[in-house]
Amino acid sequence: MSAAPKIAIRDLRLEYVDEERGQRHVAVDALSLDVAEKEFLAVVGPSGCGKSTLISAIAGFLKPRAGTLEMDGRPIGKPGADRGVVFQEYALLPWKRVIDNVALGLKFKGMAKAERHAIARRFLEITGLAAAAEKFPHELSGGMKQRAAVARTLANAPEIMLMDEPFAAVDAQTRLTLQEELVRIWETSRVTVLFVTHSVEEAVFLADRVVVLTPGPGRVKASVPIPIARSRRSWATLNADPEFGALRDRVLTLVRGGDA
Amino acid sequence: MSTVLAAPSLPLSRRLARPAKGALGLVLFLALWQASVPLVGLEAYFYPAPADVWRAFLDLVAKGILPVYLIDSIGRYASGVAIGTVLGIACGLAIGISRLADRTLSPTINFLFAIVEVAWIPIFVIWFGYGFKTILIALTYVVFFPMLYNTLVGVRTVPQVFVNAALSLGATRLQLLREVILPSVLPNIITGFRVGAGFAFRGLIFAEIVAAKSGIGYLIFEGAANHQTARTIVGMIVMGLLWLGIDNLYLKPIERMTIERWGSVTTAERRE
Amino acid sequence: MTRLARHLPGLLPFAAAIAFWLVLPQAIDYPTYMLPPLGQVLDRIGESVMDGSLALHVRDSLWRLALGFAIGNGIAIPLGVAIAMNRHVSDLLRPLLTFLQSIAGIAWVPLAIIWFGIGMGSVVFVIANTIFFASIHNTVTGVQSIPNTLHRAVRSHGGSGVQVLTELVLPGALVQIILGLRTSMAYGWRALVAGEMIAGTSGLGYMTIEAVQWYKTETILMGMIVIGLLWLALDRILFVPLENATIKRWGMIRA
Ligand SMILES: Nc1ncnc2c1ncn2[C@@H]1O[C@H](COP(=O)(O)OP(=O)(O)OP(=O)(O)O)[C@@H](O)[C@H]1O
Ligand SMILES: [Mg+2]
Repeated sequence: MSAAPKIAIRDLRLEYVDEERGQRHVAVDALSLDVAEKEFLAVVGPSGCGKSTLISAIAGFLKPRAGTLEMDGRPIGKPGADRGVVFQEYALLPWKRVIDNVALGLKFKGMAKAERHAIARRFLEITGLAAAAEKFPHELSGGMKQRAAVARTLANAPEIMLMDEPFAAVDAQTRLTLQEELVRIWETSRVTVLFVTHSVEEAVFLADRVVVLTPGPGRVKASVPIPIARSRRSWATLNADPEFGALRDRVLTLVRGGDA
Repeated sequence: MSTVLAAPSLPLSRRLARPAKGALGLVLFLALWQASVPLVGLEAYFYPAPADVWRAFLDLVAKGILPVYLIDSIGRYASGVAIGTVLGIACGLAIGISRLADRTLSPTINFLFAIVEVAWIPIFVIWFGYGFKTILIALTYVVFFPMLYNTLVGVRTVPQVFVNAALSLGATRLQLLREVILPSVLPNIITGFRVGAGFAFRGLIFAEIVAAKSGIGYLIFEGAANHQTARTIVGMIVMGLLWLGIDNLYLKPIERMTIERWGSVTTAERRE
Repeated sequence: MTRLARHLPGLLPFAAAIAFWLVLPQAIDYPTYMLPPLGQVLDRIGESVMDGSLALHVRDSLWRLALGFAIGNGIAIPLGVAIAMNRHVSDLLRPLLTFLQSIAGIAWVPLAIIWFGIGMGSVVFVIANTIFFASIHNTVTGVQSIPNTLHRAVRSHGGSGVQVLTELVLPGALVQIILGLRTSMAYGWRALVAGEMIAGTSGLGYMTIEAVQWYKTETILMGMIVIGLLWLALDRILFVPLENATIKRWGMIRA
């Protein structure tokens, strides 16, 4: 990690302030973390340790109380199209057809309708949703909604994609499929990804590197590189793979509070 | 608020039987009314029969009074509702979006809301005289509050995740308003419109009784004042039908359309 | 300190309105009946309080409202329960009730004058009529929204008809009925003011509309202020506690 990082986080402190009661809650404290350019970084940690909070801060929804938060050497400010977010609750606009949801960011950029629909269609094809383009979100299954949400973020060509437990709300079977698809999609688009999840298996399966956070207020406990070749990342191959198993167990021990 | 909840889907036999029974209920009511007239044995002006009402109706139509009054009423109603709706939505959005506008205007609006619209009529009469201007302003006032209130509730319950999603896709403030906030608030706006339209209708009748020389409300009032009670009842029935027409032909379909199109998704995500 | 700062902007419009009201007579020339000086309105309020005339109007209005409320709901709730529990009766009556409800209460005033003459009778009739239709609708909806499975559950545990009524229907419909009480009161209050304006011989509505004839604008303004304050008080004193005690405790507010 010698080249300048995409995202540089130093001694970050994030707080929620309850104005009414005058209380503050420290969600993240003294967190330092680098995300390399074109890296797929997974973040795992116990519930409530501040993973979502960290995503909110990078996205620009929440301001740091202390420390620095930089992208390409510049402090991160307001939310913007350079940092795409895939939300756990999909956040598709129910009054827009799937194609218009996927093309939304391009519309914000002022792109003409034909052009942005062409791009959106391409990403719907990549995510296997071409047939659902004219549907409304409420007509899609959970897995399809999540694909649409990924397509929407990717179509907007962000510099980094922030994903907060994107597959938490879909069934186990679909989840495995989506993970494999994400690996495949990421091969083609190669954007920097920060992926938050509860599932250690998911993290090890997807990422180049897994960062484990301590229980809240969160800080980095360990960083585990995952040197598994991209070409081998399918469940059929990795399920019984000893290297995958060893890495998974190591991260699992770290999450459970042990040292490894 | 004055809607009967949509009946859950019923077996076909009952779906057919229901309107038939309902019609029977109306016919029975008319028959009882007609039959009771000789039994009660009071003067026609005190207790007119359905037949008297029907004759009065034909007479009012033949003389061209009813059509003119109807057009007057509808014109006043439509203008007042239109202006009140636009103002209510605009203020609701402003207060919902801007914290400063909220803190500055909310107490005033709560205070004004407590003064029921009918209580404004006297001062409007002093300021604007009898007639169109007073009625228009009164109706605008009546529609304004439910419109504003519902728009405000809508803006405040726009799911934050929609706003965040749009911002991370690069939306400007204006784009956020147009693509996220307005569509998200639309169901509330429609609810507000239905409530406001209902209030305005009552307001219209009252304003026409107090401050007009034409219109359905005036017909109801004038009939009674001249002991032409049958005319009053014609006015009341026309008014009831007019409201049912507005409600069923305009308000309910608009509401249904948005709900069907977007599915229950909006309401489900809003619950959060 | 911060709390004050937060409420300060909200006072601005009131302050501006009062300043405007104070300055206007000096700034431009207009007939005072259009907007009498603030002092004159305050004097009027003082006089009316001292000579007891305001209290009389308030008393008459509240008494009518209470009567109309009791009569309207006293008929609407039992009848609504009866209608809702019998499908044939409810099918038979629903369109008629819907139609009668859509004739706004105020439209009954002229007819009421013919039947009961100007005064108490007409006004109470109109209030009761308005409250009746607002409340019966809520009662019927409340009873009919009780899931059928609950009916079967009570029956299968050996509940009699009366027990179905007391153990299931009334508690089950209570929330909706309470909402109905509040809504009906809001409509009844409007009907009261409107009814008194057209058919009253006393009361706040009468006091206000009567003042128009004599261009006693300070009385009109006083009427508006009292009507607003009285409604705020009624709502807070009667319904907010009632709702807190029942609806919120049971977590039954249906959004
Ligand atoms: N809006 C908020 N207001 C106040 N406190 C909050 C808010 N959101 C989160 N918190 C608190 O901040 C801490 C971190 O929350 P966060 O949602 O970031 O955790 P997380 O790691 O994403 O948890 P999970 O894995 O369950 O999603 C928690 O203690 C939580 O209670
Ligand atoms: Mg989280």
